Amino acid sequence: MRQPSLGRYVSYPLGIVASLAIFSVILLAFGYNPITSMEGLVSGSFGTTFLTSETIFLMGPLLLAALAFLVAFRARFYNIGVEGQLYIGALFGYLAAAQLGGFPGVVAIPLMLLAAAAGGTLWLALPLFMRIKLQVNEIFPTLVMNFIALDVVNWVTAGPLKNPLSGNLQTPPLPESTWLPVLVKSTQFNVGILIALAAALVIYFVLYRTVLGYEIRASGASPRAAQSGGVDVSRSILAVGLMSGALAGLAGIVVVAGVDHVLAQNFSPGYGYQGIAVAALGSFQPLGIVVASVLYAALTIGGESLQQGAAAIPIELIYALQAIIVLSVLIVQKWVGDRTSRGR
Amino acid sequence: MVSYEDLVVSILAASLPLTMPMLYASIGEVYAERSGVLNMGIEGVMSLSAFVSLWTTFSTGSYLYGLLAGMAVGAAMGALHAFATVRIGVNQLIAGLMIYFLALSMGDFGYVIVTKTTYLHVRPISPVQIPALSNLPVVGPILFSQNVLVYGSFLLAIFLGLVLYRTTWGLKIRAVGENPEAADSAGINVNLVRNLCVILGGTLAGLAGASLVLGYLGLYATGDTLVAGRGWIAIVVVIFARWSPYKAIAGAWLFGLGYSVAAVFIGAGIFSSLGPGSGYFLLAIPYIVAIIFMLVFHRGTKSPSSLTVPYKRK
Amino acid sequence: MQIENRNAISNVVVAAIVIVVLVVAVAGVVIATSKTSTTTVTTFSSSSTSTTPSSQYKLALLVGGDTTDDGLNDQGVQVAQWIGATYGWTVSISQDVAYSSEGALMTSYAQQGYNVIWTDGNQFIGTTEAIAAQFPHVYFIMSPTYDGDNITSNVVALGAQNQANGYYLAGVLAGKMTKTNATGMILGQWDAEQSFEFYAYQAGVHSSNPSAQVYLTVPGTWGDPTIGYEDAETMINTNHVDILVPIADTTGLGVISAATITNTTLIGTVLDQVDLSPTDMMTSVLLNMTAFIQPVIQHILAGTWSQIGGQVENLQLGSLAPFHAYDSIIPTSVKTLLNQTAAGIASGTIQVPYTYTANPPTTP
Repeated sequence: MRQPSLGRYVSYPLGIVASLAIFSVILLAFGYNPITSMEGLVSGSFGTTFLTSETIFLMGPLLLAALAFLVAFRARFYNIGVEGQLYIGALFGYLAAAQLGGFPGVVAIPLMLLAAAAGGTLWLALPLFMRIKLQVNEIFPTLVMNFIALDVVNWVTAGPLKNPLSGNLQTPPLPESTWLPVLVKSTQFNVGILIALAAALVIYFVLYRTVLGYEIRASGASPRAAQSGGVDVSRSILAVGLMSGALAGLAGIVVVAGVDHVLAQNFSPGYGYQGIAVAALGSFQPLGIVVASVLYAALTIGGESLQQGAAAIPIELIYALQAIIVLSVLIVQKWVGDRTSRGR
Repeated sequence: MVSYEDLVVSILAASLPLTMPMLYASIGEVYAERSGVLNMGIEGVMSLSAFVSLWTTFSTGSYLYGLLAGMAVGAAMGALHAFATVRIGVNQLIAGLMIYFLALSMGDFGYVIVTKTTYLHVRPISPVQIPALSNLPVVGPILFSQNVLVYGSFLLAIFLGLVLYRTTWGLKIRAVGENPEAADSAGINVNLVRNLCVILGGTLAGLAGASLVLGYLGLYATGDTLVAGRGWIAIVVVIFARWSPYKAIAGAWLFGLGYSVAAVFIGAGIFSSLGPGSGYFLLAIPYIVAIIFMLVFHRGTKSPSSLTVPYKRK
Repeated sequence: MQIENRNAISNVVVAAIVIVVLVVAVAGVVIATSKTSTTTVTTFSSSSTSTTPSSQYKLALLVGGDTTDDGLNDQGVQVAQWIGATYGWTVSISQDVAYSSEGALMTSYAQQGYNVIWTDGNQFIGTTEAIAAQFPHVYFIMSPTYDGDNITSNVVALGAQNQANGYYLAGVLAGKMTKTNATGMILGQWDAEQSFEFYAYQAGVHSSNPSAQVYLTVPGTWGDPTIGYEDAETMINTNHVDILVPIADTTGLGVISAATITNTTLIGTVLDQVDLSPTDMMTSVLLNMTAFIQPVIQHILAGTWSQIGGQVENLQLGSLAPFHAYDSIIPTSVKTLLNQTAAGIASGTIQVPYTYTANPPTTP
């Protein structure tokens, strides 16, 4: 296998610089000041305790969604369905939490998390089956199931599970014992981020320190070589599928039980898809993804502050920037990597 | 209450403009994938070109300029995807998704800026009444009173099918997709073919977005509520169609019909007794049908062999 | 070593040039044609004739969408800016607030010393109640509707039936103006607390035209213009509706488009929505947000909050926007009838029904 080279580490910052240059050009073209905008982004994401805690909150679902995509990606299983799985996971977690009100948090919360993980895995089960047994490319079933999941959750929050007392399309609140504990009072810094970080460590450990992880990476690097080398590729795919769905389900419940405290329609602004961007930005390495999730979250929160600020830069431009950054990093990394790697 | 005949006519009539953007987008994607490149960004490109064509037609009063502008933007996005995936070799899935984000947010950004001062709305292209045929009972209003963009999508699908299967260009494209090494040895410029196919795919996605505005709704909405998943579905249609532009007609129309049934049922209040939110159940039907199709027909869905694999000359 | 293919390179170079040219061209056109637009957020501190304390007030507004909706969110932003300009307050506006960010944002504003936090959108209700309880020295304003019981004394909320009168008047107008004796309302989603809008409209129509049918479609979503378009078409083609009343946000944009294309008359909501369809928007049912907020602001400045804190039941806030292109089309007799009806409502001789049901009726 190819050895990572110095070029790879240089290319990453190079990609970021390139994207910031492109962003500056776009800002100038529309009459905004790039310098103050950059400053605004930084101060807008970490300038106050609240903003920092908002950034940290956002990291939770982003990181979990990114890990969900990553772990499957390493086995060449492209799980685009993270968004749908996080919705169904949130639904299952909500249903469990609603029954667990009488139990103390130490009991209720893990059970709720388990239910959420199960929900996410369940939603991936059909595409997983289709890939393993029927050799159907998983990209398309997972994608389509996102829409079905959205319709299911929209239906229950508008219909059977809707809170009759609320003007909004959402369920009644979760029992307080199931709310994820807040770590710093009056902030959004709750246990959810710890769950996400723990998951990152677990995935790192599994991928790089276990036999299963080795088999997963071998299956992803070259399925045929792996198969002939004695690795059961199907088993690897099954393993990553289970993990991926579970992580996606956790991504959903972390938002619902950590901050919203209700299951609301459209509670995810696309975490599932953004998670893919974060995974790419993190070079598909668990620890790199942690850093990438900080960066991505900071950009989002900073962008929201910029929108409120004097310059009133529409948030859509920030979303474009996020895409430009990921694309630039990927392009520069690949280009430099192809030129500097040893051996082919 | 609404009669059955009225319902059927409404459903069929509405299905055609709903089919049109998916058909344009999917035949473009057929070409891209036939050459070996997957473009996941179609949804975003359609949204961006919808805005650009709406704004252009609104400002200039010309449908033609609007269509051209939408197609140009689509081509540019296609070129960007081609550059990233064919020239550089970035993972096609990821690159496509990033283009989805990029195009979508650029379209929304443009709209937010422009609508600070004006609301963008255009009257879609008027339907063409095909002489004699449009007077046929029932079938007339449905099939023979659509606008040129609707008819264009079907005609283009047939034309591009002919190109793919009956010309040397089509042969080269299919060769590149099936076996790039062999194609290269035969003297075909693999990356050039791929670049062109991806740009064509982008152009048609641009046309799809423009048709959504100029040939159907006449408006734009932010947050991907305009294309609303139909760009993603176009990618699924490509599989339905076994990578054939002819079959894409049937596949796109199947989904168009599914949306149409949902919309008309909701409008007529059918199934509303299922309770609030029952509309979402109807809206999920096209997708459920897609999954069932993929389950039942899994054996025939063999993609071009080199799909998503970048080609490097040894 | 890789031998690059020259044709591939030059082809992609051309493509890259195309991209650059397009970006520059688009940017240039945008710059050249965009007028100076009002920024969505400003910190107003214009010198006003009132004494200094007024300019030391800070107001924060949270809306769930942005000004492109030409409706509730747009109105909130406009009114907030009006407050800044009129009273010299410092105003900050947060748009596109996601559900998960509501609590943190409000807390952040409260901690930064904002005196008044205004949330405009039903999705904020629960969170506003909770945060208001945590910050008793900050004033909270909730709109557009509130039909609960649970607000602390530092909150003022607009009661749900605020547009009932307006919809009744709109119904009276529609009843007289329909040539097909069929009018229709398209509601994004059916919500018990807001269903009065339909019943008030229906009552208004039947009061001026007992034989007219009032159709109702509930697409079930606020964010799908295609469904709105198709539902409007169905109403127009199968029910022969010639006056449509969309209350459906982004879905409503599709309704408006379909109506404009078929020259079907429209009645807008919340704001004067004539811009959305200059030729076909007969009037709009205004939610007179300024009339609601102004007394609140004045009480704050005068220190008499306790006189209005709590739920504000105000049926007088719905009125009809100017008729614009329809001004010459609407007969004088109808205008007189509308004035008489409005007077009757104000004096109490005409009772606008305030009914609401959990589920939509099967009409007609």
